[in-house]
Amino acid sequence: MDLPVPGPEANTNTNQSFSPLLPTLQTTIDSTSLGEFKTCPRKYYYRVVLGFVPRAASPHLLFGQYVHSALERYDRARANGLSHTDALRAAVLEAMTLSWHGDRPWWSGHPTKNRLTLIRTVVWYLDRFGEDDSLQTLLLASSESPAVELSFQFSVQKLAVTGEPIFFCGHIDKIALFNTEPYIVDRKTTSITLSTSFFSQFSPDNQFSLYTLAGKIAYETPVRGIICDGIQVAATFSRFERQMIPRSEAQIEEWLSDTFMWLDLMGQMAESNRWPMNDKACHHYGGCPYRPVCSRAPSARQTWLEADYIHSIWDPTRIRGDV
Amino acid sequence: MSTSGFLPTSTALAEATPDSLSELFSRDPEWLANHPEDLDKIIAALRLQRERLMAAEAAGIKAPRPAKISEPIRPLPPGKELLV
Repeated sequence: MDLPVPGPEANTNTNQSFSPLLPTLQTTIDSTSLGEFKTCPRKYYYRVVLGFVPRAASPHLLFGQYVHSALERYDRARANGLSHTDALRAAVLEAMTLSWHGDRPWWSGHPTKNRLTLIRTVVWYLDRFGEDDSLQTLLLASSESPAVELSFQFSVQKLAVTGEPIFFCGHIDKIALFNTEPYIVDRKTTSITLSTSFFSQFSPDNQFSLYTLAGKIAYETPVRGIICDGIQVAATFSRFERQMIPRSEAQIEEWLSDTFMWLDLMGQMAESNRWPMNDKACHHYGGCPYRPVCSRAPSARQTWLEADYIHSIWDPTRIRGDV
Repeated sequence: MSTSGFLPTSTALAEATPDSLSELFSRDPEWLANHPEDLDKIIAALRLQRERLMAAEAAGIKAPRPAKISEPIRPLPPGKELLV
């Protein structure tokens, strides 16, 4: 079946992460794009290549983004010398602002992911890991500035099918010392209990492996892995657990070697503009947002896409992902 | 007021209760940016909420299940009538 090639409303001329030579080929890749491709090439095609997202934003996605942005605001304020109290106020104001839609508060319709649980989560998290955090933020060797809110982009000595170099990119919250060893710090919101099984989902994990590699290459820091702050959000409480997710040199080398094979596959699919469905992944995480499209007859899918989805370019060279 | 184990919340804690949150949450961000004392009240109310929760847990009381959020009211489709 012939699939549409992205037009000017999608990636061509606007998405800097795509090749100017082959409009279906992404040459600057973040962990979200790579993760979508690994999950299902057709999902990657709809979300990243064509840039379609469901018309109604998921409350889970918005909630995660808001928590992330508020905590980021706190980190930045602290890095700029503000006290814990002032930085906490700034973080709460950020969360209140983000969750103010137009002329009214955000109404998610969700019992656990809403405005109240958002602000509560930010305050309780920063009371736990704010002022007396045992993690010590690293100073960047290049500028002596605190290693918070870092955007990275680096080449991996790998050429795309067009002969262009491939880059990895992304955004890191923080690099910090834990027991004198450097780690990338990342936060994950969830509804499930913060047990061993919650943290075990990150070994192996695409994003955490890329971030560890980025710490080593882009910031020339011998990071040992990720410190993951799990944030459990329930209707009446928020809980937090911190766990170390290590990555050895051999694990990172294996991940990179495997990733090169995925990138070869991505190049082949981009050249042929054929993006097969992984129909064993349609039901993961409460169901793929593109299942309503894939479940239709091929001839009807474009109509469904244009009716129920809107254009939202995923350009990891510009926007923050991986929340 | 004791805030054992948590950061001090000053006088805002004494003034704020979780009940006052809905009023504070109705303030638009511009108002809050110019009234940091309201931000402090929000923070204090949420800390108080946590203290109450911890006290309840310590006493072996389970948190109540939240009320189900009802669907927004939608108009009936054409041709359908409400059966009573």
